[in-house]
Amino acid sequence: MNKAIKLENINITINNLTKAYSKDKGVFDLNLSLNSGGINLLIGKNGSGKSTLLKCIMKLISYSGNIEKKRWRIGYAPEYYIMPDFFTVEEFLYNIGRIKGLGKAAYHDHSIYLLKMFNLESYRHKQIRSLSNGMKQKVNLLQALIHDPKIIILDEPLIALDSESQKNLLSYLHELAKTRLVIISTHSPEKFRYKSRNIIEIVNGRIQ
Amino acid sequence: MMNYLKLQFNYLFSSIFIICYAIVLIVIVLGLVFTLNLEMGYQVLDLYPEEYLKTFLVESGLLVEVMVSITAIFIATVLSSKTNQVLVFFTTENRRQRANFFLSRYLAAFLSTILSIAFAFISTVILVNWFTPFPLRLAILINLFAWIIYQAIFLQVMVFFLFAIFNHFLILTVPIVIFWYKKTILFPSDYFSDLETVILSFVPSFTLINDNVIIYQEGVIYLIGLTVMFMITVLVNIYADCK
Repeated sequence: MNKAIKLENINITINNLTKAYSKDKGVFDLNLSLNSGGINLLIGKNGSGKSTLLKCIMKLISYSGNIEKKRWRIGYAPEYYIMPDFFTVEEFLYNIGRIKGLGKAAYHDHSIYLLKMFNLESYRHKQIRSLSNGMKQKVNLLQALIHDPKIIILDEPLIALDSESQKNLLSYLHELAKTRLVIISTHSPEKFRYKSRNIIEIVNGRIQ
Repeated sequence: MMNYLKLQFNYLFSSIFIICYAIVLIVIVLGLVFTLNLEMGYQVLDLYPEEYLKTFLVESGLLVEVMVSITAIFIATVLSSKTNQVLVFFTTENRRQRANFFLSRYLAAFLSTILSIAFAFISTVILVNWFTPFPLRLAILINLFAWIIYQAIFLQVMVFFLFAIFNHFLILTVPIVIFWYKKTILFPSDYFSDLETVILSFVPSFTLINDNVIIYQEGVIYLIGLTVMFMITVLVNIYADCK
């Protein structure tokens, strides 16, 4: 007998979200519902408020309004990152994985899979400071995915990646988006050529 | 919390930091050996052991105080740097986790400082008991080193506080200057300038005279300033926007 598998709907509901840095900088009165099942793409010019919205979801900054979400695991890769240079890739990912509640065995399995996908296996024991910007970006993305989160938030994930890595990442995210909530801020929506995508354009801190 | 603490220790004990920390510990041991005046010979030291011990305690106390305090400021600065701050982005999803992150940061700083002073304490006891005839009384040494720890932790909290408010690495000069200025104040004395009074009242101040640790005021009073700075630091770290 076939057993139907019911996929859990993972969603974030945002009501009247405002974070004002100045009169025209920040996000203003945003109302939005983000759901799993397809990639949610945030697009907009520099300074339009994409990263601010993501930081609000991550509770990294204070805001007024309401963001409703259950206590799912979240993976977040910021855009402008300074990596902790003296960690090796392994140390960094292991520490993040453990903090995010990953067991040693689960970390081991998942890290091998992800490092292979991003062609980082041979850099596992290298210090982050010795890596190129592209490699650092990969590590940045890996730390967001290492604990198999239900919500994945990536700020400009394609920056500094070579075309092969971009392709691998895109197909991986596409798979993840079927069962997880994936939110991506990007200037290149044309690279996410999947049917199941939800494009949200932000202009001057407001949804168009 | 333990995982956050491991993260902070992993972050702090980088290869460069380990080298610097080892150098500090070696300097402390060499300084202790130098202040013991071992070159005078056991028999000479045995002529006036009490007097030589008093001189040793004053000199070695000053050495340990300076080394541990500067190291404590350095440790707090490393843990307040932008690269440590950015770990908040990678490791926290809510305020509770952020609180754990910052508490583990403070704890890592305090424990590293306590480790260095424990090393200095054990080195002092071993060197004095093995190589000299000095009648070392542990109570005096424990009292002196406890005040050194108190002062070092106070300076670390000051660093965390200043970084939380101003978020600029040059701010670390403030606790260094305050510490250095405090060391130039002749204490005890009948007269202090207003600035000297403020500093002696705010930063734990003590001196060793004739086997006695003389304090400017009770440790509990210093605790008020320490607690206020610490609470403000915690609140700013947890509630301020991460940039």
